[in-house]
Parts: sequence; structure tokens; C-alpha cells
Amino acid sequence: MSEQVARVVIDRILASGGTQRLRALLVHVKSSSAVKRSAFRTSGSKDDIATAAQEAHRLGHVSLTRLASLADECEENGSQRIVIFTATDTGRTKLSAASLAPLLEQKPREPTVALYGGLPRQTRLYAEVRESTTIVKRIGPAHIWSRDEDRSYETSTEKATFWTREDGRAVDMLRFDVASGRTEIRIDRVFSGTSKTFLDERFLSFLEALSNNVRVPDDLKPVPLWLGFSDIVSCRDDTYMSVDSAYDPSIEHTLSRRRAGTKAPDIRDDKRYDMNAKSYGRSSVSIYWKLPEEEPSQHPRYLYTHLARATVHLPNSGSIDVCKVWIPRRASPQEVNHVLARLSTIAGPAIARSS
Amino acid sequence: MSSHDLARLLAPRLPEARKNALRAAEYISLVFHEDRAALLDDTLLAGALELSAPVLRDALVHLESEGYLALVLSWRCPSGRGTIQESREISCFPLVSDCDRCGDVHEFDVRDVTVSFEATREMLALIDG
Repeated sequence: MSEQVARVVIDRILASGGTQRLRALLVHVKSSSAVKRSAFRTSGSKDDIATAAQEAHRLGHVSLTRLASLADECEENGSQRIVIFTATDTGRTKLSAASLAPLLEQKPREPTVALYGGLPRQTRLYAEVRESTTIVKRIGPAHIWSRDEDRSYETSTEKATFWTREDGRAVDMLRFDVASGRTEIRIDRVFSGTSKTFLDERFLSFLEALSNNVRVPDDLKPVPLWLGFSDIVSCRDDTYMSVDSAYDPSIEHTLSRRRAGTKAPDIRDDKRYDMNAKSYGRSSVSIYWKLPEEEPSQHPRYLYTHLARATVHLPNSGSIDVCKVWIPRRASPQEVNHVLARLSTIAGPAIARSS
Repeated sequence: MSSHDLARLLAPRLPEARKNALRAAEYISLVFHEDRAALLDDTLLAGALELSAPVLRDALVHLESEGYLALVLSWRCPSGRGTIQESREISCFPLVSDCDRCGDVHEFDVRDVTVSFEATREMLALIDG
């Protein structure tokens, strides 16, 4: 049974873009314990790594808990929309371990096929405490409708569009830092063809799912990162931008590199760029963050984020403004935390001035 | 002079070749001197040189066939924020793509694709003299 669960958990790691991290775990296990060189592989294709991890687990070198922890790490970071809040005093109380006791009891005692399978049958909501962070996690099914181009047709007398249902596994979460009160709500993109509407709806449904325990905005106040958008754009140390769009009382101004990705020089280095002035406002920022490297590299790694101010209409309690931080690709916890920390640090003074 | 070498390549494709080929060559050289990742198309050239776009398209295709330019297909953000992805072949674009310009996810639509040309190493060597 344990081996079957291990296989499902390993598949979850691979499906969440964690092949290299699984490989790193195998390398670490092999180098730090008395494991025979031939016990399992630490290189090869995705399938080879999956087989090696299965073997390492069967031989007792990697526990199921450790594999599950890696699966959690892979699917909890990146490929999601994040909204940052500050817990009020009542929010801190409501997110304490004592208040969340019923949800903490819902946490499965050990990894199961039902918990880590690709298509969950039911939605689970549970909490867990990890060192100084409290997590409330929702795992459940989600679906979108995708246009089926092969079956859709148009003739001179008739046209028909076919839609195919895509099912997936959604992992949404609230992360509450007990010491600072800083709280993140992370909504899983689930599908490559996800839409802003899908994410908006899931954000609201997650707030609804949390509402027995904690409520926005009484218990969680959105952090107005948008107040620091101009400061974020002015920060040149570790960022890259290919497009900038801003407005003043008279005009809207967008400058965009014609080349895709990070191929062309930063748009802020163009001699025609003039959007540094404080008189410009921004409702969104598209920006790449240079990730810290152990050694200086000629080819820096970047994590892309799109930041946007948005008004969210809460059922029965008015509307709030939030800053949506969109991280479209999977990333490591360190990478996501680095970017979120940079955002808070840079926008912090502007937020403090306004309050 | 590098512009003269480029002008010689362009001359058979342009009307009033003596005058226009050198003008076109000087303009192209200037563009790639200022930005080696720049993209050229017939509309830009037609505006700058006051020549007909079809003639200039033919000249660009000629430079591409000679290895001095390379075709770039740009999938443009439908929200008008720039280029989402580039490819040499239209079939290489995915059906959906994250957009790093507007933060949305777009479905591929061939109407969002534009055609332009980038300088090859041969072109950069030519204009660098």
C-alpha cells in the first residue's frame, strides 16, 4: 500500500514541475547516508528519476513523509495568484492554533492516494502548523471548458462550437506568519489555459470557504502594494522590464520592447523612456525579478510577476482593493519568498507614508 | 564602406537603384547600429524611405534569402502591450500562452501574428564593416 501511495506522490512531484528537486533529494540522500552506489540512480530521464525515487523509498532511504513534503513544496509555490494581507488583532486570534483546532484535526495523519491523486473526488479543507507558519489548505477538483477546435465548424448555413471539459487538481492555500501577522492567499492556476475570471472566482470561493474561521477585510486587511508600483519600477538592482505602462492626468503612455521575453535591453534603458517621474501612476506592473545565485552567472535566472490593483466585490460585505501578484510558472519556495519579500521591502515606505 | 556593400545587395530590387539602394542601406545600417535586436518590416521602411511597401517587402525577402536577415514571426499581445512569443514558423506557437506583457493568458489567433526581420550575424558583420 505504501508503495502505491509513494508512486502517486512521486507522480504529483513530477506533475508539479519538481523533477530536478526530486533528483536533488536523491543525490542528497545518497551522499549523506550509507547507501550503495548501485542502490538507485540519481540521473536520467523523468521516468528514470521517478523509478529511482520509488526504489529509494522501497529500500527505506526516503520516507513517504519526505516525498509528500516535497510534493507539497512543489505544488504550493508558483503557478498561482497571490494576494498579501495583514492579519488584524482579531485575525491573529482567529488564525491561532487554538482557534483552528477543528481544521487542524482535519489534516490527514499520513499521505494517501486520495490526498495526492491527480483528480481529487472531494474538496478538503484542513490546517497545519509548520514551524512559525500556519497553513490552511484547500485541495479539490476544478474544471474549465476549452474550445475543441477539431470538432467546431462553420459552414455557409450552420456553425457550431464544441467545448471540452478539462478537470484538474486545485491546491489553494492561506499562509499566516504567526510572528508578523503577514498572510498570503495563494490561488492555484490549475490549467495552462486558465483565465483571470477563473482565478477571481476561485479567490472568492476560497474566501467563502475560510469565512467560518477568518474574514476579509475585518480579520485580514489587504496590503496596498500598488502604492509602491512606481518605486518597484524605479528599482533597477535586480529587475528587468520589457514593457511599462503609466498614466498622468492627461495621457496614458505605454512603451514596449518589440522583442519577446528578456531578449532585448531593459525598456527603462531606452533613451525614449521617460516614465520615472513621480507624476505617473500605474494600475499594473509587468516585471522580472533576478533570482539570487550562489555564484555570479552570465545568464541570470528570472522570475516573472504581473502585479495589478483590482477591486474585489465581496458577497454581502462591500468591496475591497487588493494587489494581485501573478506568478505564472512553478518556482521554489525560496524563489517565491524572495520575490514577495522584495515587493514588500520596496513598496513598504510608500505604504507606511500613506497610512 | 559597409552601407555600400549592403546597397549593392539591395540595388537589383529597388527602383532608381543608384539613389534608393544607398538610402535604404544607410537606414538599415543605422537601425541595427542603434539596436542590434531591432526588427524591420516593409511598413517601417516604407515610412522612412518613402518607397512602396511591396517593393521593400521584396527587398527584405531578398536579404533574407541571401542570409543577411532572418524571419521573425511575433505573436502580439491582443491587449496591445507588445510581443508574447517569437518563432520562425507559425506551427511552433502553442495554442495558449502566458503573456509577460499584460499578465493574461491568450489563445493563439493567427491575426495576432506579425512578420518582421532581424539582423543575422552576417548582416551585423557587414554593417560593422
